[in-house]
Amino acid sequence: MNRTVADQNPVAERYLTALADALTPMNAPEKREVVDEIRAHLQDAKAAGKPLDEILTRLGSAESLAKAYLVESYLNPKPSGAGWISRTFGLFGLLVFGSLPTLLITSLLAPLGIAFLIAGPVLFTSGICGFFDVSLAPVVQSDLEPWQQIILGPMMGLVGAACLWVLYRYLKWILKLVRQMASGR
Amino acid sequence: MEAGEWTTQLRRGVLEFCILQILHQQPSYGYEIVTRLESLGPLAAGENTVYPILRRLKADRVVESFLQDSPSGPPRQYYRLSAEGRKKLSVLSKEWDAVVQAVGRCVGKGADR
Repeated sequence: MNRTVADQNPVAERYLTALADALTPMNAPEKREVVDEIRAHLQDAKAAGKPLDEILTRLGSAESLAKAYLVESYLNPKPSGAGWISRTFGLFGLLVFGSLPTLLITSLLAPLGIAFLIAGPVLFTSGICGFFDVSLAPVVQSDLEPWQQIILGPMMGLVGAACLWVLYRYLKWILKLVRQMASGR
Repeated sequence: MEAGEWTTQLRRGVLEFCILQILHQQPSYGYEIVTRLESLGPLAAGENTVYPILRRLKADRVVESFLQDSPSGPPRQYYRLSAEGRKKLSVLSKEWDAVVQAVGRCVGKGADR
């Protein structure tokens, strides 16, 4: 194992201990990473021929260095995300309780929406053609009067569009839920 | 405001951008980044500024770190740009160009008077 400046010099060792103490709000792995980085910095600067007191002066006091780290962390806090276990359970729960409603809603709204969205304009066109005694049979076969087709056509189209819009919003909401669960936010 | 204080304020804003530029060229470690900035004169920033920024960039997933053996002692923590970091640098570069052009026009107008 390489012996570092801090291992060999009590002043450097005291500095790193003080830094670790001042970094108390950080969790242990983060704190260790920061201390290791500053330890490597001391080593690199010493290897570059700089005297230890100059290196430490440039770093500032252990407390002020720790404060700078904490201020940066405070400026950009990590999201308090859930752990992988709760994320997995969350996704599993969503799968269990969300699958059936999603299947029902999708299998109802998707065909209904598409069928009405196509049938509406066709019926409307058929109604217009009916006024001019032009038949669209056998493409369109309807017992309705042309004026009824002209009124019903756009209404069906609107219902179809509404079905697809509701389905779109629902799927978007489900995807958002899945993303939130997966990221643990 | 003193000139020195003005430079400090200005540097604070561009330091992150410069660190990302350095890491865009090649992966680097803390001491090397500090000395690179030092060599750039007005952009020289203290270690107690650069290291916390690196830490934040890492927490932000803008940079990634990895350990690599060092001939002078314990393994060094190297930093490199992540995919997100490259995107951010691209955005910041455009912003920077726009700011430089705007300041250039502003200074030019001032000189024309």
